[in-house]
Amino acid sequence: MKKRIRIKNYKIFIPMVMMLLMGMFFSTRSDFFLSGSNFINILREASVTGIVACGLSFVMMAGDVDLSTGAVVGFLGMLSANFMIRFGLPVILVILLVFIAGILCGIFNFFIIEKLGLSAFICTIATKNIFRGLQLVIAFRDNYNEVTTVSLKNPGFLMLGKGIGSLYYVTIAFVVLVVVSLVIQKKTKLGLHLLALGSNRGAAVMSGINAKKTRLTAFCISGAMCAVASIFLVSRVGAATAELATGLEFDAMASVIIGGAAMMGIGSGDTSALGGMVGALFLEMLINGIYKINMPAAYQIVFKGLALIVMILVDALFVFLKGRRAKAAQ
Amino acid sequence: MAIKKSTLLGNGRILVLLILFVLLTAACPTSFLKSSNFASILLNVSLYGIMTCGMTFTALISGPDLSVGGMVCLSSAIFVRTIIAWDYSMSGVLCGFLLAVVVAACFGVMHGIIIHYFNMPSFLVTLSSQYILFGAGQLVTGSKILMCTKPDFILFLGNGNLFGIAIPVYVFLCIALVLYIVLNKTIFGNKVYAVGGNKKASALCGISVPRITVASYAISSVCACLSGIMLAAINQQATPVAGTGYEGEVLLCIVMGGIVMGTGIGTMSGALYGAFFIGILNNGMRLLGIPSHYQTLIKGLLVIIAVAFDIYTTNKSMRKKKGAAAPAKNI
Amino acid sequence: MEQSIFLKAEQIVKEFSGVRVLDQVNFEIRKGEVHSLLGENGAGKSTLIKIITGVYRKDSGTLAINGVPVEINNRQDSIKNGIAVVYQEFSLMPTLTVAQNVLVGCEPSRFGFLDKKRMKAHVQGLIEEYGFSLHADDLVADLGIAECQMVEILKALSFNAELVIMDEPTSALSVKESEALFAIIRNLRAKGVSILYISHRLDEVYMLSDRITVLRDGKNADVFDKEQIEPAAVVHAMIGKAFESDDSRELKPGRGDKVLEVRGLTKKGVYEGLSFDVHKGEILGIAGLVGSGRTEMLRGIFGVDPYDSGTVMYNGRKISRNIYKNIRSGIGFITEDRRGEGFVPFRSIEMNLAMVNYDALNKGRVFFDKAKSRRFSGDVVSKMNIKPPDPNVKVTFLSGGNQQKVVVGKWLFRGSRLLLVDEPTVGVDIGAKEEIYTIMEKYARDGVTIVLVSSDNQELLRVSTRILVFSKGRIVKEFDKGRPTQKDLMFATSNLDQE
Repeated sequence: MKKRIRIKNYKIFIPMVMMLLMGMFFSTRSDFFLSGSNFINILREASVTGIVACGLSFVMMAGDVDLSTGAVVGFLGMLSANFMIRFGLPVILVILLVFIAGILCGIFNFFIIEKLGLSAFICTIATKNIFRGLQLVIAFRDNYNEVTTVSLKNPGFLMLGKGIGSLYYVTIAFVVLVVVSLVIQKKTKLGLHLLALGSNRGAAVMSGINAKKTRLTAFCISGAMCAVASIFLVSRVGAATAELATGLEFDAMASVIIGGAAMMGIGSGDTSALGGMVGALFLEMLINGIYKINMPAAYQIVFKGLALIVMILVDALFVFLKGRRAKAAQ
Repeated sequence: MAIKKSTLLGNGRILVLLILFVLLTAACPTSFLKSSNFASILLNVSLYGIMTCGMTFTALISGPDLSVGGMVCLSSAIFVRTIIAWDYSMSGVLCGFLLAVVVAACFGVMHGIIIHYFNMPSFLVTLSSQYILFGAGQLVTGSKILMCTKPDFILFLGNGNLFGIAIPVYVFLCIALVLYIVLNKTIFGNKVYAVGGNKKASALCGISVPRITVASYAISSVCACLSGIMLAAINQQATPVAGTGYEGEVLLCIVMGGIVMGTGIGTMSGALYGAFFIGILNNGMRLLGIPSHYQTLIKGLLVIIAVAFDIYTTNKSMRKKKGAAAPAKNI
Repeated sequence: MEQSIFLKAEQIVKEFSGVRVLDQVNFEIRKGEVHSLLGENGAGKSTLIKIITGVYRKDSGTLAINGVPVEINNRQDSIKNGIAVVYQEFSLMPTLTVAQNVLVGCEPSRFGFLDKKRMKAHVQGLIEEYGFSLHADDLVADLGIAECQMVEILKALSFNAELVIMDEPTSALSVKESEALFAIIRNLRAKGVSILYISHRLDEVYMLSDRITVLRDGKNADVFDKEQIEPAAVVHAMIGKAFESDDSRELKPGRGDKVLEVRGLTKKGVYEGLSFDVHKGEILGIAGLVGSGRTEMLRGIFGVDPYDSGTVMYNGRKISRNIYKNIRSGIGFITEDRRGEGFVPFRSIEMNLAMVNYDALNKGRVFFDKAKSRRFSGDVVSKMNIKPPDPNVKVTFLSGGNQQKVVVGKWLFRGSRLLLVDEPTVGVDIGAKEEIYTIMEKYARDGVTIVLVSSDNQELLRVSTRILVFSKGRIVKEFDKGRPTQKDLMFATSNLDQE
């Protein structure tokens, strides 16, 4: 057996290279793309999705999925608005409560998955509906009982949507969370256990890993990250709307996948917070670039889908090549 | 002792629908028991029903086809755009229809190929495709609403009436009947159940698993396409956001209908039941003035309850049959 | 030299549904010895192992480790007492490294943070100490079967196991890899680790073992020390006196039309240079140990898995590599993995029987002829005595024997003329076994040709008209006259010379 030092996470280089190519392409077609302020923009826009993708990567590492993240973010955002407007709570308390609520959402998600014994896919679709419903239940209504958007006037809170100079708080939070997540994923027992569960759940359990506790932790982390994302999202928008974070779950999942999550059994060594970050940046650059070169917005969606399919095919290719290599080595 | 689970639930299902009916009649007698209301329910069920029947095939074999929403968008866009391009003539209608169907079939075939030969999970491939389809739909409509109030055939198709029942309902019933026959009475349908139940065993019996897979995804995509065309006819327009959220509703119908993804367990009648149930439920909730967020909540809870109930009854019948539980997996 | 005893099991009894699977069995393993456990299928070996490893609980009897009585009620107890198992199916995590796989669940850590250096050092140390050709940072997904096995052994060593149980360790290994494994085993023994070796490959067993315990029908048959090991005596202990020649048929050389002609069939690493003929109406038994390439050959002929070179002629023409075409031209295949590949569990008997017969059960090539199918399945159910006799019952609810009848039935009623059968009576009760044998014999008399792969020598002797013996991917012997005994087969499959 060759004793080479294998470059792990090779798949993450693909979206990175794609980003480089995209960047070059967009900058030739548009004058506005290649500017510092635009990159700051891209970073900021990607941050919210990226934070959620970060949390999601824990869940996906362990072999589950979570399709309810967008709904959770929306619900938590509405919750925070409620706390501030209806209850007039101070910002610090609101943030704390929302954080706890996020963790509770994660616990709820896992509880349903455990109880039903169904795949996380179906269960989180169901919980997605529940959270969306809850979001609208606690939404603000006008005299006709229609949902309205009430602006937040809390200066302390709104400040979170801004930043120091040109560096937005949300981006700082994003980077910090990615680093922390990476440390947890790569250097702690929890990270290893999550990876083991995603790799071969049966074998992991046989090795003495507590599957329930570990997966529950992953879902709680995801919920907590959603909480953080929701705070920043609402503070940036300035209000909690009914459509808050719609579709976010798909973007977050796409980010993790584009960032390298293997699809042969969702968990694999290439699922990581770093992948989530790269994926989120990739998606955002894609959207931003297409907008800047005045292509119809529809192309953004088309290319998102294409990027996903490409990564899927790449993954299949690698698996195929590995099989070939193993056969040849015999 | 033959397993009567499906028939049991079959009888139970009619009962559930009846109960629902009675409840709604009691709750809002004036608004529910109106022929116009029934017409509205039927129309709704027809739209989702076509897609549900189509997705049944993929659900039995490998998993959900999450691209149906996007396919509705793209096919309605192609349909209307072609009609406009051909000066609102009947040949334009025909052309648009054919083009949309062909495109849908191509996508379906592509799904099937990637999912089978690359061994990828169904939801992921179709989800990615969904992005592409929505984007393409937006491009084809040019991000604006395309109207097509002519030719008269469109008016007839979308809003016409035959013996008091809307044409789209007939279309749905025809498709449902055809697909029911295909799944239950043809060799192809037989093979679908075989492949869904055990792919390896099917392959060893000479059944071409790739062919069945590709065909199933093609059926699902074409059905979504037909839904899209119906939608365009009903509204006499194609919008860039058509079909948003459809896959969620259809998924709900399928799960409620007792179809277990990728296992070959489930029936077309179950799927139809699911479609009717969700359709009546939607209608009832709307009439009762239940705000939409509660509706979403209720639907989410329903899936959980329905599945939990299903699992409970399956376990009960399994336990009765097998007696002392064998130590199945000795670790 | 009196060595101390590590594990001592006395008067172990285990019953399942009133059947005594282990009856007052005594067993002991000394420290630092290689001890083999031999016995036919059903002799009780795996049950004994499961009791030692905590999967089953003994009904009565005592266990003692290093002289201290212990109770082993679950896997944790077994591990705590220093017992480790390496099974044929690995439980490894492919996307993790060797070090991670070995230490997961008991990683050295500080406040939850992994001490990666210590992990790697620990594992690398073990690797070097025992001379494995691995590196702690290798990704398990990149490893071959032999190396995966080494990782499993490493897992055992990492928690200082004093006894390593190996279950058929060489069945998937090449000759070179097996040699490497034997070296590792000797190394372990030198370091005081005991090995419990379970294998049907008698040649290996004789070469490696310090002692052999033979079980037969759930009871102790004999214990041999290394000097006492004499192949004939061991085999005698395994089989007992009963089966000398009673149940076996008179074998005959092949005669008549050649239905199948195999020449030089080769698949690298699996089987090599297979050449044989199969004549019409024969029941050609294929004996051999697990891993000798028989199943793979059958699958290759049928078209399931590709082979590298060689030709197969069916009725004088080149056989197709397409399963459907082969089925249409009259070939049937009965897989050894009944549960995984044999039937669709939640479909009825009728539907399972139909899966191979659509060309006979169609109306206008598109529709399914339900009436005909119903008659057909009713016919099969009664002729093959399937219980319960209701074609609408879902196959998953049938007993193993009845399930197998469904699997076999669908081919026979298709009128297949060549049946490739792989382990037809695994997990089937005696009554159903006999029924299946009778059916096979009847069809052979009607001119159906059967190629029967089986690890049950008794079964082969009962049913076959001629027997080929496989060993390590090659045909090593042919029995085509007289009445060979189980002993003869056993020697042949283990590549030993009978004197």
